[in-house]
Amino acid sequence: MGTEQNPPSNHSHDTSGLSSWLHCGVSLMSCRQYSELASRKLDDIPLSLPQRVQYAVHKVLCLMCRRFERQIALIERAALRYRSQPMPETEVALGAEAKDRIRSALTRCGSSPNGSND
Amino acid sequence: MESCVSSSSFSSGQNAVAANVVTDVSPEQSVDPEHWLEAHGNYLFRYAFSRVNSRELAEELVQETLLSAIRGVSGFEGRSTVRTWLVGILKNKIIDHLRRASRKESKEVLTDEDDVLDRQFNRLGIWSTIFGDWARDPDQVLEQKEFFRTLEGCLRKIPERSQRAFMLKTFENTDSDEICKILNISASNLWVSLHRCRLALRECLDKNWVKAGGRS
Repeated sequence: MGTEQNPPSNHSHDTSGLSSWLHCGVSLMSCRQYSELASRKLDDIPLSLPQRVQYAVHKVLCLMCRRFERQIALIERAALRYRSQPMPETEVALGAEAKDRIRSALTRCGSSPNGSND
Repeated sequence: MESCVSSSSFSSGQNAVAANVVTDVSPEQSVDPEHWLEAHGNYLFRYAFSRVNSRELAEELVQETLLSAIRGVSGFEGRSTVRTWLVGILKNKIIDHLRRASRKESKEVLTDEDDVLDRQFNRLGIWSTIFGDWARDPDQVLEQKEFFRTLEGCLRKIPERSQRAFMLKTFENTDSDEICKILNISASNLWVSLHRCRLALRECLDKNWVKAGGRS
């Protein structure tokens, strides 16, 4: 997916556990990367262990990404309603003209199961 | 000129419905092709339109479906309803169409002019806008017709080519390998396509669902 710069590194000697662990040679996952993994999870693609770790950490830290994940899960659930059926709220219909066109084409088809009649 | 839709096209003998027998069967259950356009045409059209987002193409697909069905009526063994059987034929026609279209089109199909990824993330890879929390109560949202109306509008807005993979996966429950074969794309193209589609749909819903007074 495109590249982006790593977030600016934190040069302070912060010894609080989580912070120093995160910066220990591990680049922080960006929202863009997170969003891609969230999509893959919906497609049941297994993530590698490093991916899963970074994913979990980013999720805790990032409100927008948590929302994003909920929202695409909702979209996926909603889209399942259309499985094997037309979209209920879309009001389109086969017009009379179109029906006539189709009817003519069907009657012209000339290849009934028993072949054309003489 | 003999109509090939006449009920005498049934004298293959396989069907219990003889040409002139009056039955209690409703038009929708009728195995007489003469009734099919009237009884199922509109449904097939709406089904097709929901997948290909073009009236013209949807009409063509309905026509091809009914033609195939008439020619293959002896293959209808009554194991499902007529409508289910017709929809099955339609699904195959849709897939055939996608197969052909995917091969005709150039490979640049997957890169948008207006790249959804570059738009939604800044240079640091962080979300470029803040968005609201409309999926907090999904069950409640899914009860709202307005939500589906908005979602369907969003599905129509996204270029048809960009949502093929999403459509096949979610609406038609097509296997990933199968989708790749139909659309002539690699597995990684597929994941990218699905991802972009989700980003675009989410963004569209964000703009239109919340603004329409949608409750989260």
